[in-house]
Amino acid sequence: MAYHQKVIDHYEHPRNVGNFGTSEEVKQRKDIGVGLVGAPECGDVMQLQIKVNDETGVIEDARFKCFGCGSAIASSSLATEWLKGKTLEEGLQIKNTMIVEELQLPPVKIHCSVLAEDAIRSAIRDYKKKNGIAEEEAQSA
Amino acid sequence: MLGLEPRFDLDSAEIDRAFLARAASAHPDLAGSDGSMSALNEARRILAEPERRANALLALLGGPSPEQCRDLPQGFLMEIMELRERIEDLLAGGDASVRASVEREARARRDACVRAVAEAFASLGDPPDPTALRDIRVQLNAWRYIERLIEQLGD
Repeated sequence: MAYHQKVIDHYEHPRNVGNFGTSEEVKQRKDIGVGLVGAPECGDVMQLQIKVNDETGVIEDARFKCFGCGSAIASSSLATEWLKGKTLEEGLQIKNTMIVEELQLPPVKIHCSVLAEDAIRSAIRDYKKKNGIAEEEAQSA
Repeated sequence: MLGLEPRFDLDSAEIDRAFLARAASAHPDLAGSDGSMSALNEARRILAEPERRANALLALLGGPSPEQCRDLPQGFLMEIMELRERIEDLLAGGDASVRASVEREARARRDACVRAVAEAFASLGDPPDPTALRDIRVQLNAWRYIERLIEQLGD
């Protein structure tokens, strides 16, 4: 399959791979939010960790680990790049369609971008939960 | 499919016999058409792979699709993530014997999935209980991650 150049670039040089500690360690750390998600369609699994400044609410750093296809790796790599420097609320504005557009993902790979968006939401939810920040109710469009 | 009774517990000889019996009349060189032959090939492909067969059978019994039920067993994602990180570390050494043992472990996990699903299908009532069908979907969702691991070990 022909991947877009941006996908190949992220796949060959993934940004921000790794984590801020073992799952037990990050569970104890209140400045870190973890999102662990999977895609039942293909069996890809993705973990995203965000490190948040609790005074400013800004995501200072992000790391990911993804066992999946090139598009899933590129989507999560891109997500970590986009998250850095954003507030939690700005992070929640990242939509899978933006990833699809940036990486020119074909229709069969859209679920990879959905996985990345799920990971972002789940990491932010985890951080908020750890820090007693109320989740905003789902807003109707 | 292929005139076989809808059950999970089919062996490959049974599938081949059913396929050949039908292929004889469906072949375009005889009385059949390209369409009926390709439908037969597709049926054999689905039946011959346990994961595809299980998904087709669950759909036939009215069980949920992966889109309708995305659930996994409790703690499974964490388990698979840790397993994959451990395998990644093991394979980083590039040792061929390590790769062989990792592949064996992955296949043992697949065998465990096959056995568990076979048992779940065998113990379904008639008509099947929706909760039991949903439980099979959850098992199949987990199985996909194991197949994915095996696929990627082969890359």
